Amino acid sequence: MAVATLVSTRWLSVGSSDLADSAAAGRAAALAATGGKTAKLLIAFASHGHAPQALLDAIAEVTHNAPLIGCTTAGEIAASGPSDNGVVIVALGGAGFSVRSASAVAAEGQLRDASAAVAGCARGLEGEFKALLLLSDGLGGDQEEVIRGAYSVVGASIPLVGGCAGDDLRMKETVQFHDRQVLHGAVVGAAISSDSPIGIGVRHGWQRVGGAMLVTSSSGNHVYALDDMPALDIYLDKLGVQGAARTDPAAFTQFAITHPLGISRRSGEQVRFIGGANFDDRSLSCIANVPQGGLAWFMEGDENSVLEATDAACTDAIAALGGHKPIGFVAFDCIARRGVLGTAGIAKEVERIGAHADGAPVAGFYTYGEIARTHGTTGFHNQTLVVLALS
Amino acid sequence: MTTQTVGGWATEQLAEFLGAVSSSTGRRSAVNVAIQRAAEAIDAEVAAVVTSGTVEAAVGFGDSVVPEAALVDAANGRTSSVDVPGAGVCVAVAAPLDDVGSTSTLVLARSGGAFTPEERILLRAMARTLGLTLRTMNRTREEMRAALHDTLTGFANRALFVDRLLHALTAAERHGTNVAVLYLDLDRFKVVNDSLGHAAGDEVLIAVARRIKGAIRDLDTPARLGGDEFAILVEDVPSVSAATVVADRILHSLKSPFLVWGKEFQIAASVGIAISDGTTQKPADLIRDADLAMYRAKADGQGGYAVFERSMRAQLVERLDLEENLRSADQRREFRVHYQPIVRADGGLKGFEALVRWQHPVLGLLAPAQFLQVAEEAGLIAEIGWTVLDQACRDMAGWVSGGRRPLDLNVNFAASQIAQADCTERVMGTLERTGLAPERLIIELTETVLMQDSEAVVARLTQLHARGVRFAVDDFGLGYSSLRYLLRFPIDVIKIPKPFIDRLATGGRDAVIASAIVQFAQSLGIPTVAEGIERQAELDVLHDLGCPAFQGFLFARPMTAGAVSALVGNASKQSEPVALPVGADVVARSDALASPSFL
Repeated sequence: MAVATLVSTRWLSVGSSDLADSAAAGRAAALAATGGKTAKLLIAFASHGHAPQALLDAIAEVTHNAPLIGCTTAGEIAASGPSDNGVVIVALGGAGFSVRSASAVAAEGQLRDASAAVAGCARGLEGEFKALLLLSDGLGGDQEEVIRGAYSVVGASIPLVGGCAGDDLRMKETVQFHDRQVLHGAVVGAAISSDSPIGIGVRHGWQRVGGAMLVTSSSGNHVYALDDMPALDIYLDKLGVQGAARTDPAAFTQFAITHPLGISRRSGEQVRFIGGANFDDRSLSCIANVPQGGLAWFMEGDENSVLEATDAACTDAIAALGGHKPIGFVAFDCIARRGVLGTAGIAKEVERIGAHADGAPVAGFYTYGEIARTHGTTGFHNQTLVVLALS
Repeated sequence: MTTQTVGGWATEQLAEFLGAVSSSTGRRSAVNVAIQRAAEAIDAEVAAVVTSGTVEAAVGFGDSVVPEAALVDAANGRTSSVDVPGAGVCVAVAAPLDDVGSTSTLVLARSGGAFTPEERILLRAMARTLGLTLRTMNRTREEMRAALHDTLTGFANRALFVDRLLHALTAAERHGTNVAVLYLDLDRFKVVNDSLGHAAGDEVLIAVARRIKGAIRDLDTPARLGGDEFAILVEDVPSVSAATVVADRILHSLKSPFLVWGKEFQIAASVGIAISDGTTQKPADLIRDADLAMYRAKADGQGGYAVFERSMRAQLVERLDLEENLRSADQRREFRVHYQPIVRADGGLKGFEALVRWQHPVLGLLAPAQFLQVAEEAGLIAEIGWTVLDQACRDMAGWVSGGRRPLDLNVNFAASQIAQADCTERVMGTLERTGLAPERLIIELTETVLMQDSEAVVARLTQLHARGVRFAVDDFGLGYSSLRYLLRFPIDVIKIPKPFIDRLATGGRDAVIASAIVQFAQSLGIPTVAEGIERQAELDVLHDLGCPAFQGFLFARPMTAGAVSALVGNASKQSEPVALPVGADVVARSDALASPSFL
């Protein structure tokens, strides 16, 4: 199905498909998104279950090799609601948009260099309103380096937005797309310039559980000790974890997505998604850096708090449009929020986003981490909803 | 947000900041990490370090132009806002790094409103943390530099020189080129050090280093290997003559006098040159070869250079053999003491100067010139000196016992003997043990020893003098310094050296100078002994000048203890003063003149 908004010089439309055959799904979603028009950019979110090359080849074929960035997900979002095993494609075009895209594989974990290389596509891009959309491998190291690398090139001049690719919670391998290329461990990006405002909103909906603890031992994304006790043990005990999650890695991850770690930042707190645990050395593995010596606390969310955050993120994004009507939303929604909301809840959430969009198309995916830098220098988030609103 | 919360937040941020900055490996990386982390901690769009009026590093402008003037103004407190593309006008704050040696400031700018007092405190703390980290890095770098460089001259030290040489040899072998090592040793540097002290010596070394630097190419590596020894690594040397050109240039640069503490010094150097032969060579071998060539240059006459030849290695082996034998010579009782008579003006025997000989097991009887330099370099000279003193005192005690007419015993002392803390005790102990009266002993010291001018040496000499021991200045007038020591030290005898005596009978200017030296010594009221008299004409002049005592081949060559026993025993039987007939039984042969009065 397809929903499209047409404004004089810009258009954005979304197509999706739940066909099992990758080529067929890609072809269907792309045709639905473009409606035969020439797109300046395609943003594709696909289930990890699809055959990526067949998918990309089919999309390229029907869109006459329109520029494309995209990634695999932990679930796709379209106006029709959330889905798994599907393909969602955002297409944007029109004279009011200028777009350049790029990709770079982070050799030996050099995420910063890869991100800086990708951000180079924003150089010389004319236009009053800009955003740099970044999609990265959420399993590939400290994602704050993606922000640092891009910021080192574009500085404060361009907001950063995007998310980390997923693999349906297998936590093994994600895939990034650039045109017809199937990439692993890469950063892909598109610098978008518009003659109308671009808005970004970011919110989480988590509440603290218990008091703050000192991170007494950590290295990079691994937390070894909190208050001088093994991090995993204190996590299991304080949150009263029972059953399989105490011993089974898959069950633990399922539990942990709704029970993240909060760390202290100037803004109050940042949320860190706990992707797994090491049952031998009793450590926790997060998606981004948890600094040793800082304060941390456990968090949890419920449907209400998460949905309130959804509203707030959309409101913030629309407010940034300065009264201009949105022509489409792209949502980067943390997989953990999906865990809290459940199947019925996420349907409700997508509905709410659609309501804020006021008829404009909505697309997005469930992420392993979100990117939103509109002020300051930091911009990597966990457990949040990031909404990109184009007008 | 309460103040308490902010405080806790700030403390954590600082801990994180410190962790990130202190794990950096250099200034550049530390500064980059610091501005990144500072901006993130305070949620600022811009962070920069401004150093000495320029922006050292900045984050927030991407790869577009950094507004340097605005950031410098913000660092100096002249403005509190910076226009940041994409973020608009941002509030700016600055905090000094307090890193010694530069005036660096951390500047942050943010669009999100004014900075709170807590944030300003955090910013200051981060700036100080960065400053402290940079200072520590600087110190570490200086320590590393110090570990590889000579602190006095700034030249490479031996370790760095060897490393550079190793790389140069490897590259030369690969490219089919050659490298040269020039080994340079200053001539007579010890005189400066001994007469003016080590501080003046250091001044000279610094000046020499400057001239060497001026005489070589930038890509050549100069090093100070220790003391007054320098080495220069010259890469890509096409021929031997190219290396000798460099040596010439260096020697020429050292020719003009050095002005140290208002005094002019003429300092020459000897240079040894060794050139790689294109085969696999070790740095140590090339340095050793250049060192050997340097010794040849020195032996050939100071102020020149010599190129290494294989035969020099054989000479080195000989020298090492000699040194090895010398070390056990005392144990094997191979040192012999010979005695050269000192004669009064009336022809009577005044005494003897003890002179050492070495009865080498293979080479036979060796004169001092054949082994004393090796002994000095091997640090054996003091012990040989003590052996001679002991033997000579024992001999003399025998000769003067039984109420015979007393004779003087002149014994040469090395600088290292006088420098020993127990020198006084050893001299007195020897006299006591051998039964020789202290009044009979005259210790001969060179001007170089006396120019040490140290309180300890003055005290030692004064103590011995108070107990009756007398002192003579050997080689008077050959030194380079003042005659102050004549006032400071208890000098009883001045020995006028052979070079002056040689000129006495020649007439002309040299003779006048020689006469003046003799008269000067006389006028100080200190008795003189004229050394090295070989000709009657010289003796005649000295007689006319009123010189009271003589020594030289004209009277007698050094003789064995047995010969002395016979001589004084004979005189004793006659109950007459020992007299040596002038010219009797003496043939002045040039090949027998090698008995310098040092020992």
